[in-house]
Amino acid sequence: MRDFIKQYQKNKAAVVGFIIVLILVIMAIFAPFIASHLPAAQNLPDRLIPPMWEEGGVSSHILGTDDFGRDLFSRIIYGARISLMVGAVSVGLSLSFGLVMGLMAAYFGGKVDLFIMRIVDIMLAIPAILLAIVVVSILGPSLVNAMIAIGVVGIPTYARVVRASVLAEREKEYVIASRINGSSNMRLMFKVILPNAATPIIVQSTMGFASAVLEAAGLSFLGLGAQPPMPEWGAMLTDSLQFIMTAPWMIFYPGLAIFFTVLGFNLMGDGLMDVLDPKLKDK
Amino acid sequence: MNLLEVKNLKTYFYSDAGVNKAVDDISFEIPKGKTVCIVGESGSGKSITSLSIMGLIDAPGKIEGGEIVFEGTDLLKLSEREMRKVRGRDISMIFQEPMTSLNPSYTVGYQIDEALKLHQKQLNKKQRFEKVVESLELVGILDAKEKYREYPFKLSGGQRQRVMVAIAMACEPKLLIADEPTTALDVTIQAQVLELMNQLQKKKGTSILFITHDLGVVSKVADEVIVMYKGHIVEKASARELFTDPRHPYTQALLHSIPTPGVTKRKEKLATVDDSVDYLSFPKEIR
Repeated sequence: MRDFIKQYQKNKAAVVGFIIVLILVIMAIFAPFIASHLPAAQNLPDRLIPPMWEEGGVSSHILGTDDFGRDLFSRIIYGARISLMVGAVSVGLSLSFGLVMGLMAAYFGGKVDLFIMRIVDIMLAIPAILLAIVVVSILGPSLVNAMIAIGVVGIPTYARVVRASVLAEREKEYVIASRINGSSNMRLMFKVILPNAATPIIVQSTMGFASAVLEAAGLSFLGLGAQPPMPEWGAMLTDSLQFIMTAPWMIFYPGLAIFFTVLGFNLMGDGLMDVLDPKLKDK
Repeated sequence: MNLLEVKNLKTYFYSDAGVNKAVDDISFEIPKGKTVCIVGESGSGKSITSLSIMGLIDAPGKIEGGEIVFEGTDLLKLSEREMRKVRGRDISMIFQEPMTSLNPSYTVGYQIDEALKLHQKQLNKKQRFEKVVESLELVGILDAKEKYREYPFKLSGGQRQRVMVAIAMACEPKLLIADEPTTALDVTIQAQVLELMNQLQKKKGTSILFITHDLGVVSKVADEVIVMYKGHIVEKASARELFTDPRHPYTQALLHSIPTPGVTKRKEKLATVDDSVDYLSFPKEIR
């Protein structure tokens, strides 16, 4: 563990990524303490106030307010909760199904592999956003359904990653050795092979987190994800489009939040990839 | 008394290019408490033979015929579930590459413990711990209690191979199959591991099926020797008989190709086994 931390620190960008993610997590957990207002608290007399350092700004609203007088800073802080949840749930969903599918395809091979991978191919042939829109249209527009849609859309990617990784490990001698000691199929799949095939899966999950946040923002932007008054950053972008000339801070700061979140997770994923791979390969 | 009897074993591999008769009608016995060596070049079918015994032949391979009688039971007739009980408990195996034969993600102690968990369910945690430490000491690993918690990458090749032997011997199997266990080790470590195996055999009475291409190793461990070529057994004899009076031309060619210190002259061309000769046309020498 100590080696891991030391090696991770060698990549400065990865450390930055980790710090960003850490900040996000703190923002999410301590939102009520950090935010100055409640995210849905409307205050119509105080609508469209610019950030406090600009002309017309006030110190009580650090980043200004939106068209309903809601404090932008607080909405962004609370938005972190939503984004992290979206990332976790979507990735969790994709991973659960993708893991089982990929494991079974790689382990059993033959017809099982063919069948599962054809399903994966079909899913991959449909553009992700389109598929997500279809799923949400069927289930109805809400954040939960957006998470389900993103989760479902992500399954084939994880199935492929898992399958490739497991295939590489499956022929190794320690697997045969364990089989020779009398291990059952289940045991071989989950306890013997999977821990050694975990690296690419972990990296994919970290980066998948970023994609999920981005996709959720996209769906909310289209009106298919979070519904008002949820402070989901993508939804905030939609609502603010009409004010792009008059109140640009309403678009800029949520956009910046999305940008940093995606950046943070991607950098962290990159860093993890560098650290986990060579260590497990050489030793 | 024979522990294992292989009768007319045929293991074939099917592909678009045709049938590969990896093991083509071989028969041999492994007596209790003895070491039988299978020697042959790469592709002779020796590893396939051991995998066939363990029931680990997967598609596109298929055991097309014969019997493998282990203590009176034909292993080829057992279901996968029944075979799993035999594996690890009655018959176990160690491999060539100690680097990849151990699971890199688990500690050494855990892996030995796993074998015990599978086959000796009556032991509790403490008893298993003691047995694991005992196994490690048995294979000559010092500081067994500390080494328990180490990961394979921290151990040297020789130590890893010892751990492999410990895992294989943990459940005190009746037959140990060793598939070129010392090929990847340097000569001094090789000697140690071979010595270890001899000792274990004396202590526990385990039969050993030793697969190798190295005749030097054969001379150190074998009681009986089987020479395989292209899926067939071309000669079978006791170790002593084989080395003093090799009868089959292939065996003779093999022995001839080993340089002898003091005899083989410097810069003399080493003898090779002549590919153009059809060794299978000669009568098989079974003693």
